[in-house]
Amino acid sequence: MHEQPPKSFADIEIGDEIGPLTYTPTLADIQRYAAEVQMVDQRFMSQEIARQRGFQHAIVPGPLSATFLVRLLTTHFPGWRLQNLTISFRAPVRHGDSLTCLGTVTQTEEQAGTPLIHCDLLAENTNGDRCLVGTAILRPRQPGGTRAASFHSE
Amino acid sequence: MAVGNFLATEENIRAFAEATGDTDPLSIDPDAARRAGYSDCIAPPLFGMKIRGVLALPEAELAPGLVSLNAGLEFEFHDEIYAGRTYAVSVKITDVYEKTGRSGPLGVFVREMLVRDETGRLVVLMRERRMVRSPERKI
Repeated sequence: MHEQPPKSFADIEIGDEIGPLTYTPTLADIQRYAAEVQMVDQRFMSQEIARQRGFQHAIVPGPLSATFLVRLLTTHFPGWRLQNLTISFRAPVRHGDSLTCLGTVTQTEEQAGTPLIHCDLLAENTNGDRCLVGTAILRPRQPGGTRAASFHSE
Repeated sequence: MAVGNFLATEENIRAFAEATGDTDPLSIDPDAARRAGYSDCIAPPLFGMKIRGVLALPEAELAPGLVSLNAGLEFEFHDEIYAGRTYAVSVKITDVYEKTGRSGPLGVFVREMLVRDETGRLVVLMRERRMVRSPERKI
């Protein structure tokens, strides 16, 4: 990702669509993530161990799939950061599944002079299963706590 | 319950970003972060999962034969996590309840991880909802 100018609050409207972005996490991706977060449960890496633990398939760790939804937002809204994020894992993401990540702006508002963007989020697999659903609220990044005002004038 | 301190560094922030495919220059390039007005790199939003893993937050013990699944995550981000700063981490179970899902009865427990800066100010709250069920119905 290149450094991008902040997205102007004035250009954001209710109903704006975000994405889609599609990800197909590989076993190598899962192994790398698992090592990074020191995940010890091998059921995410091995079909055999998943079956031993009572699962039909090895699945992608939910938080790894959640990072795709986060990336959807952070790439669409340069200059903004998450304030709140809620993700529900509704259906398992199996190894090899492609996830299509989508979002919609549901509300824009200002609270105490701070612009906020509310979004609905969805990640579905190729069968149309809604694997992850969520909501997010974004606010302008404020390095040093001084930059919020610039969003009002852009 | 306090579980320990976590030092965020350029290296562990970059490693998490790369492991999740995040190429935001603010997380992987200290110069880009400084040009943007930050003192150093800032962590990707779900960096809390790294903190959780490194500090090996205690897992609820399950009876034999039960499995747990991540049902959901909630985050409140009060500030960025900065490289070069140490954060105090605490965790608590905030709710335990039963519900009936499509696959029958489930146990649910909710755990909160609080990440505070050196001044004690809350930086990130991560709320994790886990389902516990019998493995008889496979998913």
